[in-house]
Amino acid sequence: MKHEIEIRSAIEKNLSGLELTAAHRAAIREKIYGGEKMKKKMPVALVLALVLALVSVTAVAVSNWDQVKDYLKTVRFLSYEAIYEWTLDEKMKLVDAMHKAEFEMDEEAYEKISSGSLSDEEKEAICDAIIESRYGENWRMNDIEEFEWPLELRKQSEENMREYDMWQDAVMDQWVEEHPSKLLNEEPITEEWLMERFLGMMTEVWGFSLESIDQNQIEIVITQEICSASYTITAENPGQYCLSMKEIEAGMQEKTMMQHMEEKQGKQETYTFRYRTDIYGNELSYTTEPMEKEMVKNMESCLTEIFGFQYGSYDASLIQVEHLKEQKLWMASYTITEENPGLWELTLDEIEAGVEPLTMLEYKRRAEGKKDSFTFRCYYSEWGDYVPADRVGEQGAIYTSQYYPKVSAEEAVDIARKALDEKYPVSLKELEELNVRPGLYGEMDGSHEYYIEFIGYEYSENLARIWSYAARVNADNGEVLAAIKHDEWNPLTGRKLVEDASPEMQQIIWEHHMMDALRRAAGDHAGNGWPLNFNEAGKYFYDWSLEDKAAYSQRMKPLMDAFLQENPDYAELLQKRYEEEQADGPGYYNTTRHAYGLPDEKSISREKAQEMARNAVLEKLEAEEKYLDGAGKINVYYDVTDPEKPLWKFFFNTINLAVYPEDAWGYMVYLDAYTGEIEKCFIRTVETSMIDLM
Amino acid sequence: MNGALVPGAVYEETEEQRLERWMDEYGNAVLHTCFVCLSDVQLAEDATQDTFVKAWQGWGKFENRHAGAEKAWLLRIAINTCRDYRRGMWFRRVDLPGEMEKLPPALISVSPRERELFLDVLSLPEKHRQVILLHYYHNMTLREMGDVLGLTPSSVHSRLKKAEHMLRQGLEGRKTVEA
Repeated sequence: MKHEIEIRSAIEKNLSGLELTAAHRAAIREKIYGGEKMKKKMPVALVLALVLALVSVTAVAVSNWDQVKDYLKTVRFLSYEAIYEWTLDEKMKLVDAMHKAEFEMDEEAYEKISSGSLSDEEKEAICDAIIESRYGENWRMNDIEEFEWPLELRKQSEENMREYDMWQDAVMDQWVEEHPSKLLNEEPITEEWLMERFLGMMTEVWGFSLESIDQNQIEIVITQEICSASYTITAENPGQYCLSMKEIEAGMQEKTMMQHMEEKQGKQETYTFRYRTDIYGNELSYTTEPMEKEMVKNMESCLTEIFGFQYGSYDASLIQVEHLKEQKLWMASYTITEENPGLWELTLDEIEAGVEPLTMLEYKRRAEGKKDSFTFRCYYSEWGDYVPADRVGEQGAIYTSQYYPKVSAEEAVDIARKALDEKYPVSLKELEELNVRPGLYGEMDGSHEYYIEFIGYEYSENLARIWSYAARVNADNGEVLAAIKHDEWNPLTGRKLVEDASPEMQQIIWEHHMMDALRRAAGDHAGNGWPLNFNEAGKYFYDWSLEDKAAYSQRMKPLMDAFLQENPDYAELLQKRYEEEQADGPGYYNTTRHAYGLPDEKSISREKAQEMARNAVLEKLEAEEKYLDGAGKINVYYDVTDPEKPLWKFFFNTINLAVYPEDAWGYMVYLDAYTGEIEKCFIRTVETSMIDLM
Repeated sequence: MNGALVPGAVYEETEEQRLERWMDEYGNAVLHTCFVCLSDVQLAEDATQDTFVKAWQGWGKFENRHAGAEKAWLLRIAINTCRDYRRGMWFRRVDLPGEMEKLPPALISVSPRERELFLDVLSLPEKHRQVILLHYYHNMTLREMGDVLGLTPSSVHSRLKKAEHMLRQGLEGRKTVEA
């Protein structure tokens, strides 16, 4: 997220001065209304050459895919630049790859460049000619990807997509290698630079006029750690000199790095503006949160971004925050004690190898089989700036939990088993057969407890069920604090469906550009498969025309039904989730729960049906007319699941209008397509299943 | 002029009004897109002009006329126009820092870090640069980006992840310096 903001801000700021001026607009009008032909910057000869180049790009023969594929595997590691930038060595490698792939070429010429008897210029001329023979006379202009990976080829099959992905990976690796950080060699900033920058902030961002600033009052401090410029004004109404604090806070704050203090002395108010950077001129962040709260956040981001914790795998309430007043520092720390903490986070080796020398880490290794402790710490200045641990000046003396429990892990496991046996209908023998995982945890109040978990797995063809019994046991006195049971289904389902789907289904899904949903479901929870799919025109399923829905339904539904029949456990799980949790399945499941068709001669017209649906929403659901008419979209379905009684279904999507929790997300109406009778009518809420909206 | 079009509504916008509205609403977006694609202020201005001319000429063929699609359509024309321009640029290397100097002064202060980061964006291979611009600057969803670039959303996603990965190298490098 932090990077996202940085990237966005960098683009916005750098381009903020580039605007379409009145002159540009006049030029556009002139071109259009003046009737003159578009003025090209390129000479005619070059334009012709471009046309030829375009022809040659599409003319690259893909007659033998295997041959080309092997060739691409080799050349993807060559340069990703346009070929005119290639060195002779790279061109030679390209020509070699062409030769190896048995592309047609002048054999005699190829042997000449391999013989070593030619000068570099001669070799390059021959290489150029061979490359040109494949890519056309304007081969210089493009990179290999543009020649070999036209969009049509990429989209042709999944295999091509995969190959193309590998191609892109290779390009990325090269780029990363060639682009080390540029700021490493930056010169430290000067006082003049900071003064100029600060004045810029004051006038451009905070609304001061240059004349109103008393530059002698600007305080500049430059040290190795922090560079700051600050300016204080005290006046009855400081807003007359600059933006009022309200205005600054309302909109400008995110864009600025301002620290302000507002102090009321009688009628006078004091504003302090401060701008801070590091020694290289990088702006330092500005915080409005109380420091205690901010430090917890800082520690969390150190844990996840530096030490490799997964989000949610740590307990933020255990983060300890301390204000080191003498050192003018804030410190946060977090300790874990595990048999092998590296299983959950970065291993010690990784951390020691230099993942982040900036934060402080204490590690206490105990005897084999005992728990190890990791203590992670981070420091921030009172201004909220990150302070590297090696600058804190603190040697050793780092707090680490060295707790030895009075109750052993083996004893705790026995205690837990007995407690669970008493509470749940599970025998000691059954518990013994489950995998046991004991964990020891320290609490904020200094107490320690075991969390003993007995885990069971059950696999069927498509599903994995994971369940566990767990108990919390006080590590000092063996008291049972809680006994718990978990039971959950684990998702092999989406993946299984992808693997097992018939080629015909795959084909339909592919044709309808639904692979995104399919892939997501494959790598994700069955229930999380994105329910909205795209068709050729890039529309979501619910936006498709009645004709498209009918055509898709006619092909896909029978296949999906057959698949579910062959895989009853999969069908059962999705059905259960739908009934009990109103949860959705993957898109291709949702879209095949009803059969869709087209209205026949007995059906009332769509327009009439929609009008009746609208009236039903107003009368039965008591929707406000104005709100309903603001609906972003109205989706329509003709449901022929029961061919004797087809339904018109209309969904009035008002999610774009919903502001308050009580606002409706939309209204759904089912009508008998022949009689117009309202069959069902309900308000969409956060819990409504997509299946019911289709 | 309010550009939020409501599907189904009937508009009586003249061609001239439409052109003015485009320039009001999308002028800077198109110009910035062209600059990021071409890294050349002069060429970007020319490409912007060509984009609007092409859009004006091609309006009749454009069917999906709702607000979001209109912007995507204009940006697609802009990117294709830049591609044509870029093909003519093979003979010269782009001096990125030099071109940055030619940009009109930023309205908001730009730190060295932001300048370097922007240079990193401009140094990305073209296809990665495009997705970064569309996603981060134009706030487009994967589907909208797919519309502009003629790719499936999953391809866009993969391209975006790679572009982010590339940029992160630079960001991490700077983070070390920051400390």
